[in-house]
Amino acid sequence: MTPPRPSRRQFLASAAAAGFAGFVASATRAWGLGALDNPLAHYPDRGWEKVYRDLFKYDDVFTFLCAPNDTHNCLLNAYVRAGVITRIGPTMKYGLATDLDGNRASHRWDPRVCQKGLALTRRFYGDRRVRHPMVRKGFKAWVEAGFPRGADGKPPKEYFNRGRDEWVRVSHAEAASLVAAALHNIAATYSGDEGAARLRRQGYDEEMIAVMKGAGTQTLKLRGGMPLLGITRVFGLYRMANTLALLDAHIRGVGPDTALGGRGFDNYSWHTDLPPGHPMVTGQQTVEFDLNAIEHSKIAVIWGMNWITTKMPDAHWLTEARLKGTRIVVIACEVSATCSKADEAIVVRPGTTPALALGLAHVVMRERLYDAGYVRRFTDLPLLVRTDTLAYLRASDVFGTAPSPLANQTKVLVEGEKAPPPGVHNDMLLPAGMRAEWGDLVWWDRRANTPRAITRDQVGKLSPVDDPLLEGVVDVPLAAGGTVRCRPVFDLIKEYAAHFDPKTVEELTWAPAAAVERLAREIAAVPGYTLFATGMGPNQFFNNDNKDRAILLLAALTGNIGQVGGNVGSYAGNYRVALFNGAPQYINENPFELELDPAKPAKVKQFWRAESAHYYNHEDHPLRVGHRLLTGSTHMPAPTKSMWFANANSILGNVKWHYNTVINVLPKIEMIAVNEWWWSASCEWADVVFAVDSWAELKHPDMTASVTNPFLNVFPRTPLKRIFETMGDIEVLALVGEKLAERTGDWRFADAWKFVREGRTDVYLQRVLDASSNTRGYRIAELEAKARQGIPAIMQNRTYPKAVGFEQVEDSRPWFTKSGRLEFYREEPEFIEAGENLPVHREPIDSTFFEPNVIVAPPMEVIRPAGPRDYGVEEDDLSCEVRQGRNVVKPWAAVKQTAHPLAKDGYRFIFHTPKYRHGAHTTPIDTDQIAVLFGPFGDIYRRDKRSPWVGEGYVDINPDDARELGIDDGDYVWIDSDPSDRPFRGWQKDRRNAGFSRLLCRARYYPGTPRGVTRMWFNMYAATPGSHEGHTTRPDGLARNPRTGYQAMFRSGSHQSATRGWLKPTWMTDSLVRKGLFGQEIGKGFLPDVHCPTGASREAIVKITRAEPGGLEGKGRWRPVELGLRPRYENDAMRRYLAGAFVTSTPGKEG
Amino acid sequence: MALVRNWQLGRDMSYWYPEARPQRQFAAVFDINKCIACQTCTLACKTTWTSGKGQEYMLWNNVESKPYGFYPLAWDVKLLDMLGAQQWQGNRYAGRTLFEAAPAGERVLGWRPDDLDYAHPNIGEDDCTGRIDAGAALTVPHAAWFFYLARICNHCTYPACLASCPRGSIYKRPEDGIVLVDQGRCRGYRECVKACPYKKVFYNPSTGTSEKCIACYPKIEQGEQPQCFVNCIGKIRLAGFVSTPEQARPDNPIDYLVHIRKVALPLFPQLGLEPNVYYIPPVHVPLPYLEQMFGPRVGAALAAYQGAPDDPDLAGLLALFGSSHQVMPRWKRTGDQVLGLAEDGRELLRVPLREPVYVRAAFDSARGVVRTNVP
Amino acid sequence: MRKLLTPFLLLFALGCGARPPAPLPEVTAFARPALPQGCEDPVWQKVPAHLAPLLLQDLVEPRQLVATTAAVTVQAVHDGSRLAFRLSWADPTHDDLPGAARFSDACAVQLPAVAGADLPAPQMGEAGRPVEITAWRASWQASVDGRGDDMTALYPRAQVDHYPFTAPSLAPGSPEQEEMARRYAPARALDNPMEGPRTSPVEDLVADGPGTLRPAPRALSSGSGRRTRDGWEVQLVRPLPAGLGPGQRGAVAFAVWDGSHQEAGARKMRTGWVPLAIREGS
Repeated sequence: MTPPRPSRRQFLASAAAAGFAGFVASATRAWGLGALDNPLAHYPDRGWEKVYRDLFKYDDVFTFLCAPNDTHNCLLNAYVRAGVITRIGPTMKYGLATDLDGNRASHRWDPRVCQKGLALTRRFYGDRRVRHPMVRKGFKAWVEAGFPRGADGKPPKEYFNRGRDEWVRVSHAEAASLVAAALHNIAATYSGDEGAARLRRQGYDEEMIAVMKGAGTQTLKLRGGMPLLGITRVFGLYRMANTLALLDAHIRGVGPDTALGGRGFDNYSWHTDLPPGHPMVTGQQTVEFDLNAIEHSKIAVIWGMNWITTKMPDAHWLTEARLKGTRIVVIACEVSATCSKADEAIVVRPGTTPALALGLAHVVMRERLYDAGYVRRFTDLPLLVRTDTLAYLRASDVFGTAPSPLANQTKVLVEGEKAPPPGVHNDMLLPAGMRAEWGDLVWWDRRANTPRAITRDQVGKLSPVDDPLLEGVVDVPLAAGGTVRCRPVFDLIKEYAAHFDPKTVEELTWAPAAAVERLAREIAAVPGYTLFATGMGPNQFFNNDNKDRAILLLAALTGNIGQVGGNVGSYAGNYRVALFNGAPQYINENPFELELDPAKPAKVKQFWRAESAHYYNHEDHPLRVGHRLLTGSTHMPAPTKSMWFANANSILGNVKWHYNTVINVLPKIEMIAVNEWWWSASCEWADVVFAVDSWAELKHPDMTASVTNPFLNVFPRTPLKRIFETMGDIEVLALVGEKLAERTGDWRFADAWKFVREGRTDVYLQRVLDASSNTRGYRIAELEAKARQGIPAIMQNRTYPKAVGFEQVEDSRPWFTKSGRLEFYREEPEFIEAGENLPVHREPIDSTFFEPNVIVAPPMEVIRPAGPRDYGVEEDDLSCEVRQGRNVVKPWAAVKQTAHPLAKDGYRFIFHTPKYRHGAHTTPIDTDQIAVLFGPFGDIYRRDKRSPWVGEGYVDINPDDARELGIDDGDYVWIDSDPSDRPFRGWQKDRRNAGFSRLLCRARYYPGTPRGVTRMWFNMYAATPGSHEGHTTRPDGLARNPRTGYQAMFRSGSHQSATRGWLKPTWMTDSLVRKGLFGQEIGKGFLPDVHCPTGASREAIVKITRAEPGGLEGKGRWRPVELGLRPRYENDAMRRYLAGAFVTSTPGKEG
Repeated sequence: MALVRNWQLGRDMSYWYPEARPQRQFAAVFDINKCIACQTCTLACKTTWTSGKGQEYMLWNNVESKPYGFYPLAWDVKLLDMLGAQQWQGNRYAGRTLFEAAPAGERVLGWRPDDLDYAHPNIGEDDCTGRIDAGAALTVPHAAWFFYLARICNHCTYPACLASCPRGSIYKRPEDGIVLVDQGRCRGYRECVKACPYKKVFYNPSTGTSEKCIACYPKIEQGEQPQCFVNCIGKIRLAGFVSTPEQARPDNPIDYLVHIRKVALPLFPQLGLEPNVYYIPPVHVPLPYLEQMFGPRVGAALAAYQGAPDDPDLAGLLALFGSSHQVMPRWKRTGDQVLGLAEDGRELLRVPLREPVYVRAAFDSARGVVRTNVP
Repeated sequence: MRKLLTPFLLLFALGCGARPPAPLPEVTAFARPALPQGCEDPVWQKVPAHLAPLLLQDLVEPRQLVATTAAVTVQAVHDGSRLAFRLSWADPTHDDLPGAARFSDACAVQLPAVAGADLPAPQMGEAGRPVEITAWRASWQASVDGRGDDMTALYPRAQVDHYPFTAPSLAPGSPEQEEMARRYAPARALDNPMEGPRTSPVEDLVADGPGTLRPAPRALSSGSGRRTRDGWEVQLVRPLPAGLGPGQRGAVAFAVWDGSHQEAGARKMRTGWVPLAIREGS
């Protein structure tokens, strides 16, 4: 980089004088032989040491907040020299954090940082930084041509050469105008009857067209990736969606009464992070605890969670709890990183968690080891179920009485009564209709041998359930005469769980029977002191809701829900936006009545509608099997015609079923706008890319909080001069608002962002703080001032550490369910139809060696699902679409005789894609210093031309499986999943796209993964047409897009070549009762991030074939293999080394 | 050659220069049981010291998965194989050190890695021993195991790099025992690269000199812990100064762990360098491998560490790890509080053994608002 | 590969490595009105040569115990004030690229700092009796000949996202930017240019005993080298040593390093003192 500069000595040479001789004597003194006497003791001249002192110096230091979607939220110091951030470090000031009452966190929370945060300098300055706004050439032409369209409304293809097109640099203003124009045109095009007709011609599902109610704005989808990560700048996309009601009003000439805004995609559920069974049992989003709670537990079961790699700054709580005596049990589907911290590590078959949890529950129930008091006070297990209707037995059926009034921290809203804002909710709020509909329930009093009514008030200390019938059958006399055969939920579950005896569990899950019994007894021995930290492993399978219901069952049986040292947590993503339950003050401010007085709170009305992005991911249609529509009406998506997202690579660049989405779904979408600061695969496929500030350049404060730690964090404004032509995300929103105002003449579009333009974003933040139950009392100015010094604040949650369920246990507060109890039985028709009124085990829908998605159960009177024929499909139709709604019941004995339909064609490897330590999602995986350490194939000097980058994707495979396939450690392999739709539907006839989308990667012998189970990390950058072009045409073989600089980490394809969008009927009910997203009001049916599809991103069965030898440039085997240093290739020295044979020990004289 | 005392071997040994211990010896304790291989230490070092040209491959601090991980490739296997099987008699080393095993014409037994040996710095990441065919239940010690070994320069009492430098351009600072390569005088012969058994000296092809970990002396000089310590989120590290066994003080945290409780052990002590980074060995790994790596005291060290639940002093001292950016040369425990102290007894840090639980009122009447865990 | 080469290399060096047997029993510097322009200057064709067999450096650790380069052919001329040598030797492997485990081919000429019958120890002189050394390295020559100061010059496919001194907020070539670059190359910051951009492939050194080698306070020598079909040709030009003029006799020593054998510093093939005659007139 620096031009050659003559060294001092060479310079002096020109001033030539006599020979060397004159200098020798003088030059000798310092370095005579004497000087070398003993460097242990003395060194003649240490003046040179100044160079490292100088290298360490910095001119300034400032603080910024690093908050990818990993929940850690680290305030970091940026050290600046000559105007450049040369390095980053922790502030070491979390130990100074306090709450409003003066409670303090300790310095054991420090340091908060990680290698990815330290690598950010390379993302601030690196060559893939989005340096200025960019627009795709064809898109610009389409807009400038006046949005030409065909008869069906579709734009001409030639304008939409996404992924291969050229890009044009534009100003922010120009980019904003293009986006505003497109939003307007697309909304207008699909508004009203003509709009509906166009969509019909394009083949959209009638139900999807119907939900739009004529508003074209409903086809505009917006997403701020994990809004909790930026209450104003990320959540702002939803505020934008709300203001789009003004656009609808402008286009259709309607008023606030009927105007509709845009649609907002979900987040937590979209990431397959939501544990969908938690709301099915507790009626609210998720049960979780702050991770420091582990210090107060006696046993911690780390279940399908790679804690030490995904919760890195809080991993020390685990290892420190362990060294103080907490027993660590890890359940994983390989010898995972976290297994190395386990007192016991149990390796299981992927996707079998429901069976394992039921098996553990079986031991507890069989041996009567359960916490009877907890079961009676907090669960529905004593409640009676009618074996005829399969519904809970209602008190009205038995006693003919009306539902009793509710008083326990509960208020029933009278008809038409509106709930107050969420932040001030104290009591739980029940809509009158629902209360009446649920009625009261019944348990059987064994002592008096009689049925007794119970209201949802009667939980915890208020529970009258003393000696209930838990096992057996009763014929209960009905008020209307006659009797009905009833069984307690406990009895039904006990019968079902008995199918999962330890021996069966060992066969099904691979967990040794002895380990299952041992673990069940250990947990039951310390009721209330086991923490179940469950992770994404089990959650990313199709049976994830049953997984939650079964794990929560085990936890409830052992008194482990809602206690500081005994609870369940499900960890992934930073989801609980309700931590700021005053957020509607900002996102839902009524755009027709904007509050422009900074001192006053906003008037709130929601005009936007939420929907799950899984329908867009499911080829933009709901789930229909045969003649049955299995997507509930409350869930129904609208057609997707425009997408605009921020802080979100997962919605496109790293989307599940990526190649099907970009090749078959994107062509139906007319605008894709992205706010980014790093050129991701999302940018590759976009039309407009807004260049936005990195965390180090934010000029507007923002805030966030976390579900795994107690801190309230502010993104402080930073003094760093913007490095490139970037803008804050929120300024981009304001700018597009202005352009919409200019275009429509409605200045409310611009006023909606007034305080952003005035540099007063803090006004919005303060409104949210004031309106949120756990933050009221904090002043944003003070929070930001502290953040500037590297000090966060502490959330005013009920407890520190946060323990969801604490109020239910401590205050006898009902759960957010019909019964007020933890409900392990689901009486709603959707669940009964699916055969899931009980928590059941379904085999994974693709990642199984057996018949996919089959319900494993013995014949039982209460499992009566609707079978394939009821939907008008063949019993043996196992095609991917039909499979999702297939309710076939078989006992294990029969299931184990079955095989996956593709097994015969060599698809016999489960392929799962977990997240790893080297990335927070895809941040900042592709930076050189991170990539080179990501797994075994990193090489910063790229000695092998085939390496797409300095690190690359690889599949971990059991060495014996690899040998059978003739694959050596380090070879390149092809990985193919179900050819009917992966990597994308129609690849057989589309060689142009098949070329870059088929997965080619290194194979790594991984002794820790069982036979038949392969793993590829989730985090790496996918191949795109451009990266593939670079890889195949550049002399150095770099997989870099010649037009955009996008850098892939695969030669072709990615881990998402094998995944698919999956929809499960029980994720899409209209009847599940659950708390609202914010506050204490109860409702039912669809709720984004609470009750909606999650997908199943670890479901893929694959075939693996050898592609190329692993040796340099494809010659011979990979060098470490040749040298005998790899598993299964050990040379003699390596074998002795493993055995510890290089030292021998004999007793010494001292004994 | 001179005869010097190496307490880690329980005997005298020969060394190129006479024994000369610094006034204070920089030392560290790493608790392997807490290491999560996040590589934050690696990046902290890299972004601070080796972000220059020619240093791209260079990791003064690295973390490798044992037993299949190495940086550079096979660094320990290769040397142990060259040295051959050696013997301990009790706590006395009966085998040959690298200095005693030096071939004719050499000062130290060593080898120089090939360019390609540095190619894959995280090879073997998470690879375990043995095989997993289907399900398994691993109890301590694990039948299929691996662990993470974080490595920096050991700032040895008897550095092989220093002994091997024909120019005497490597020296030990008398004030803290930190071992440095004089960047103004090094001529890039790479004798030190060959001699250092831990392979912690690296050649910079862009400057033509050999470079190594400097224990962040610009920070040590200010009483601060090095970058790889302060950035360690596994909180596995504590920096300080170690005494010889005779001078050990219980209120010196390093002495306490190394000499008093003997839970922390040197890495490959048999090589004879008296390395000054001490490791608390991993509890889940079989003994033979650990004895090969940490010497004959491993069994006792593990037993002491596993006693921590009933040992508030040990558990308490371990809670100081990673909680301060300052060097804490003294420490003490009072009840459930652990204090890190300066030489003069000044309190530098105070942390609880267990993070407290706070329960707030369900209704904050002062601010008229509900405080809930389910907002 | 190196191992395979060794026997072949020795054979090669002894056999056809040297040019036609030189009658000269000692190194003789012939007087010329002007010194040759470089090692390829035709003048050298007519200058009689001395074939100096190379010995193992087995005097001090680390010792060279395996013979590699067998001999070096030495020619010399002077112009009354400056002394020029041309060293030629056989070396089938071309090593001029720096790398973690790559070593450069090199050679050096050593003279006593003070002429006289009483010679210092041939291995780097001794206390109070220094020697002067003019050293040449193939990797320096490559830099002079235009090898870039950039990792892709060493590893053609290397990719580095960022160096602090390449941050776009620093103007390339600005003093701040150059300072930042030097800061991240400590040896360069200390003017110890063992590698990196060079304007000369030679370095002047002084020593008064093993381990004391250090750069001369002034660089007075020049030189250049080139790769021949089977080895190297290097011209080194330095001032006539103090007290050694035309018609006088002195001593000179030579050393050759073979990079493919990882030779550096004391690991080298060398001569003892060889008589040096400075011819008069022209």
